[in-house]
Amino acid sequence: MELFTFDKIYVDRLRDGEPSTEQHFVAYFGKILGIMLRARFLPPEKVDDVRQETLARAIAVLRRDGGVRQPERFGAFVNSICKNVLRESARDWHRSQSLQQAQFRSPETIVDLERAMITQETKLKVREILGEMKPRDRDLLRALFLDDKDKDEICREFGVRREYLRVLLHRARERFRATFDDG
Amino acid sequence: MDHNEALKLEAAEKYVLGELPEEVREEYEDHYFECADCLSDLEALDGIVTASRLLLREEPQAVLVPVHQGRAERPGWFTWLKPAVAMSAIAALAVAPTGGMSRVRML
Repeated sequence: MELFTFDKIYVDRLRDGEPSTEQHFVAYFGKILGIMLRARFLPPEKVDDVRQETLARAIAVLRRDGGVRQPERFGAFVNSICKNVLRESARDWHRSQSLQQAQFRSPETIVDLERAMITQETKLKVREILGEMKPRDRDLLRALFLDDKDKDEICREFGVRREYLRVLLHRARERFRATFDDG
Repeated sequence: MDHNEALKLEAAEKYVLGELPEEVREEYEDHYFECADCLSDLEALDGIVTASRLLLREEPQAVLVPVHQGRAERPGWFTWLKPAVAMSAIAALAVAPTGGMSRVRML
């Protein structure tokens, strides 16, 4: 994903509902907001709700106000809208906690939503990277991503320091980039 | 936050691991919405985390076998160019006409 340079023409087209600009807006910010929301460890359906609400609100504000003051900082504008949506959602989720518990989703639903988020190419590359890892590192990632345990506890169990988790991810990222460069 | 600060802080890895304090996280988000390199780093890390979670949950046995081992089990077209295989093939071709004729005669 390339960082996009926004300008007044783009923002005006989006405000006026130009279809290809709308498609670009949804695809581009859909990805960035997804990264931002998953980093908050929100469940996939919440990621989707907040993302949809943010995109809809950004367009509504553009149409209501006729544009933004700094079109070249349109990314920052969408980012701030997402933060507002998150703050409001956090209050709502807190209020309806008992209702959420009653509507607890099945693990199959989570897997389906996660599957929809990644491309087949990414999945193949990551399978390759996991396959090349030492079994202990793979088990460490499994504990980190799937077990509902504290990170310090996981590090104690595996006899590693907290920094090792970052090192492991950093290496995986380098390998991921290299596999894409190799084709 | 600028790009050098983000690198020095190992912000991308800390971000996906949820290790940044809230204030720093918000600064990093303000930064990567406008930084091509950080956005690219995060996109890769997000893909790794999401796909790993899916693969490790869905097919824990499959990821235990390195992909290149799986590939080696199946002979490809170029296996025929390897010297040992090529010699056997040439030998078989040299014998083939006689064998073929004798089979015809037998019929």
